[in-house]
Amino acid sequence: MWDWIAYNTSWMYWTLPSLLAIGGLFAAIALMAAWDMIAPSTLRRGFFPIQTTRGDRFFIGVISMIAIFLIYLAFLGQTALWIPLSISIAWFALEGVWG
Amino acid sequence: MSNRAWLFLIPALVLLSISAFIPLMTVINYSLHYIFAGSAPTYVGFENYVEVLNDPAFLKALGRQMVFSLMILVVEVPLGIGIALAMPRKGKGVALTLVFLGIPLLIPFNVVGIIARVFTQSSIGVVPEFFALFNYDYNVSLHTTDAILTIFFLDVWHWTPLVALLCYAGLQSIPDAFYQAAQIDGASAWKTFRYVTLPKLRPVLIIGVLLRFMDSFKIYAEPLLLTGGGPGDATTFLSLHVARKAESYELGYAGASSIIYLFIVIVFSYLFFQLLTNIGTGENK
Repeated sequence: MWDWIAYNTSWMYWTLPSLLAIGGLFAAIALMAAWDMIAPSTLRRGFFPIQTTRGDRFFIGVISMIAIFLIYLAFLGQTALWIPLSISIAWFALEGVWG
Repeated sequence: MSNRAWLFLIPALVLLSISAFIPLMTVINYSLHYIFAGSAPTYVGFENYVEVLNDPAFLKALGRQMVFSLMILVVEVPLGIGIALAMPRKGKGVALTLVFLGIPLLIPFNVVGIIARVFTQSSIGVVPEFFALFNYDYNVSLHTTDAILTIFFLDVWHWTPLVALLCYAGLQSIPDAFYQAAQIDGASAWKTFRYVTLPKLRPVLIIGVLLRFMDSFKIYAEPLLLTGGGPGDATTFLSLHVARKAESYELGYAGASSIIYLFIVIVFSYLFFQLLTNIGTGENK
């Protein structure tokens, strides 16, 4: 079955890094949905100038992560990608907890 | 869990995954490869993104697009509100006004582009003839300002009715009691508009601003048919730039620029949504 899927999706040019990134994102969304069903999120006010739910902070985190990578790539190119990754993870955790 | 209604979402999600997820994933994967014409793809990581973000043509197209969308919002939204306020609320004029406003919305993008081309062509068009009366040499193929302003006014003509109709529907839903209360309090026409009408229009204005922003940011057919992106690259908006790269088989570059394009639309739509939802509500104090 896996061979059949791999053969029929070869035109999409999947690679392991893209599969891990996209798979991770969708798994995180599914986990967030499950978490929200078990313990519904409430609006709260952190350091952002708006009231946010858990989902809002997750969305802002993902968007910020992409923005950090794009800014880094624009100015420094594709070198030492662990730097924007570390900054993104730190920011994600920061705004997720206190945002 | 008592509410199982979400199960009904499954068919829609399956359809969405086919129509949106698969193309999007393909574009993301393309953006990570060097693909030129029919050659075998080579995985290059974020190299295409680096190239796009440092390409002056892309950055210029992006700047042009931002200015254009901002101009559209600044003009179309207040104009739409003004038209909605001026429209009759009762009587035979309502149907007639709605029909007249609806006509531009029924015309497809490419037809609008072709109509504009016929109207503005230097040899046969009525617009150059009109400007010739004032000794102005109007030419969309040669003059940058003429080309940009023509596309701008074309969009205003085409899409302001949408904002007007949305606002009109919003105005119809405001109960008279609010206006009566304002009248009793001695509020002026401006204060009634500012503190009664405008806040009540907020939901439709959010939809109007988001729709107009997203649509104007994707403008493609009108500049393509009217000016072909010229003169020079004066009307090469982002969509036109990306499409040209895809047409020239630079699929990796086109994929990376499409993803950046999508990202910008998402970010600005979210910002507009938050701004319009929270502004003046007192929730931020």
